[in-house]
Amino acid sequence: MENREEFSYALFKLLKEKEDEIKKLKEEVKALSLLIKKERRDLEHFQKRWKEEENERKIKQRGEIISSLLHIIDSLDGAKSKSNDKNLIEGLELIEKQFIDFLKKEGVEEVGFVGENFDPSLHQVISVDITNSDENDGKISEVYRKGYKIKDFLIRPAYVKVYKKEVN
Amino acid sequence: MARIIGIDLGTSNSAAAVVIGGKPTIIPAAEGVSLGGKTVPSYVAFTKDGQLLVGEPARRQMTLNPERTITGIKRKMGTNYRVRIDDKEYTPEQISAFILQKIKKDAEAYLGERVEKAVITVPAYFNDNQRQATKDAGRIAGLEVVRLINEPTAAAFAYGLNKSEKELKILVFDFGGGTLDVTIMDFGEGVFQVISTSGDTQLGGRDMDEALMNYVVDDFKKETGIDLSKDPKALPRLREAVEKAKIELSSVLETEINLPFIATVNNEPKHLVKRVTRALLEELVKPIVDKCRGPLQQALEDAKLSPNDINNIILVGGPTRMPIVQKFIENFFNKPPERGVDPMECVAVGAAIQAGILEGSVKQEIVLQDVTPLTLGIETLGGILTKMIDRNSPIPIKKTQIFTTAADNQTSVEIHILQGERPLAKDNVSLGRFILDGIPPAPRGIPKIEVTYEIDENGILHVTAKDMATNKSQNITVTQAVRLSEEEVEKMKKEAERFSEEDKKLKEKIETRNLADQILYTGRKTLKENKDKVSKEVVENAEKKLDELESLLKEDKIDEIKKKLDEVNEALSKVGEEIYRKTGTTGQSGETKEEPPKDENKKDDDKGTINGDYEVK
Repeated sequence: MENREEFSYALFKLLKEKEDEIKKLKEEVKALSLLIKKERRDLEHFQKRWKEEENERKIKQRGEIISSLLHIIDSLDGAKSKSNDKNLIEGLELIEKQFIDFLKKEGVEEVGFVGENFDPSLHQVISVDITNSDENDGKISEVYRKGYKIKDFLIRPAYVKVYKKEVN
Repeated sequence: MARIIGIDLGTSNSAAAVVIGGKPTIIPAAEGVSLGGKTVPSYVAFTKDGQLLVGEPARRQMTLNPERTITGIKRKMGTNYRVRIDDKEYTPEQISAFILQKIKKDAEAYLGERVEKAVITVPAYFNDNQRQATKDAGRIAGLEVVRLINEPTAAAFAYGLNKSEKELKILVFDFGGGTLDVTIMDFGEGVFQVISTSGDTQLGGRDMDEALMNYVVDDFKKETGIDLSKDPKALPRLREAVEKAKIELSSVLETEINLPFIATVNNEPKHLVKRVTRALLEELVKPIVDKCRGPLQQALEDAKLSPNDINNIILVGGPTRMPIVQKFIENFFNKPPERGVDPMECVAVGAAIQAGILEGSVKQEIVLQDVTPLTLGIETLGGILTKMIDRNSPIPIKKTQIFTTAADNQTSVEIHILQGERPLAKDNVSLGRFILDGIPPAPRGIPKIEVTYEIDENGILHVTAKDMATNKSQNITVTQAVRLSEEEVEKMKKEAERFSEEDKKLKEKIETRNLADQILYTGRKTLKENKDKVSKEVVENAEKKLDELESLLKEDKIDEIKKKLDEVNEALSKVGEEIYRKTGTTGQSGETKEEPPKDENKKDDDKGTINGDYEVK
């Protein structure tokens, strides 16, 4: 028989090693199961979100397609304002109306009108119109380029000129 | 497990990302996708009636309200600069916090859960003040900044370079809207280290847009005499068309800027129709691209490297999408840059990966940013260094080991904290020592002293020793533990290598002595307790062998001690056999076989201090 001291020491050492190993494995298992829980929570959340946002996504996609057509309307607008021929302007207005009707049918709304209060969530200021009037302060004085939105999704902001009262 | 998001808090744009299902994902801004992509413009504004605007809305009203709109606040971080708006003053931290708050809110809306922790990126050249200010900004926004990482490091994470097993020299070329930052980093053993930084604060993608814009405006002016840059109605249309053309030219060789009815001359409408080729665009922006050469050379020179030494090149920022920029880099280094991650998102993505590693959702074996450069240990019996925290362990880290006393009735132990790779305590750097006393008298090996080494995220070492019987504890804080200079670390590592043979022998010697001492102690104890159960001859033989061992120990004859140990063991095993035969029991218990700290009561050569080397691993 072996020396008891040595034997028990060897046993002790082995036991300790195994204990440590088990501890380490337990910790690993714990970390992994936490991770799985989290991933599952994420999956559920994003599955739910994906469903809920289906409509929103469709709107956005439509908005993106429409956005690439909008420069046509800008050109029409430019043509209208740069032309002197009354008949031509009338014709252009009719084309523009066709376009706007199409947009309306798609649920697209125009944003940015003269006289409206400036709203940074819809309008982008290009220049400032200095005014003395308290009433006009912060209102749109000119629309350089129309903006459009579809439901809550802003396709593009309106480029506007805004009245500003100088304070001295 | 709390979620941690990664934030790229930029000068003109910020972005955030988070790891979802193991993959970094950009968090979209609540305003939705605009031409600028998913990023949040780093703009903060207060309307006249005191409403706070952050991001895109703040940017849109800038022209109307410049006195209450703040941008580029990052350049003021860590300074005493104050933003005065009406009667209120704001620190740069507070302004940055507004941006962070918005990002936090958007992230919460996107994830559907609270977000309280973040990893935020900072430029490599940020000093301590600027870093602290960034942390404070996070705190003000209700975010615990679990880590700040350098922007180039984050970019390298986005490309997975942190997983490389090779040493790498990485160059990060961050070409933003208004600034160029060049960083060269060294990566090895899991650590990124900045070697040099260079850049130009007045050079960016905006200059490139302007170059094409100016060209088109001049061209139109030559043809029609009309200066479109003076026409507020035409200008935004033109700007958009130019931007679109520029983006298109990254993938096609030719495009057309087509703006009918852009102006009128003498009541005659004018159209702008211009074919633009990639070659033309490249000719226009070439002077700007060429200006990047200087900072690149500077960074290499400072790092004492040549272009061929660089292993990986990472491009960051929108303008680097342009083929001419990529070609320029490829020609300069004679190798292509890394591809695959959107250069606009790459820093945020890297921050998210770091965040994912910290929260445990990204598995990663290689250690991160901060590691302990050298092993931290404790001096134990015989002047040996027992490792507590191995070198290159990532911090923060906490390690605990149980130790015991080396002598009977020892009432105090000395905790001597050491740093270094040498096996013997005396060859390492002493970081501090303290004494834990008030241990109740007990045979050696019985008291349990729990020693804990903890390095916090700031590299500060806290050492605690606790007597588990009385719960009495003592502690010490060492601030400079991991703050050795590069040369010091290198020197210490080299020394460790040079002396490794010698050290190994010495260590073995001490360990043999410790073992002999342990056996002497336990052997005599066993004999004393079991004298009546064992035959006289066996006892006498064992005693004789033990005495011989003791005298050899006094003479310090290591080789002979080793041989004698075998004889002693044989003699003692006979004793054991007889005890078992007599009693049939397993005998004594309560002996803890744990490594004793060096006994501070007795000096080294005193035989009483030498105890068995039972290391708990």
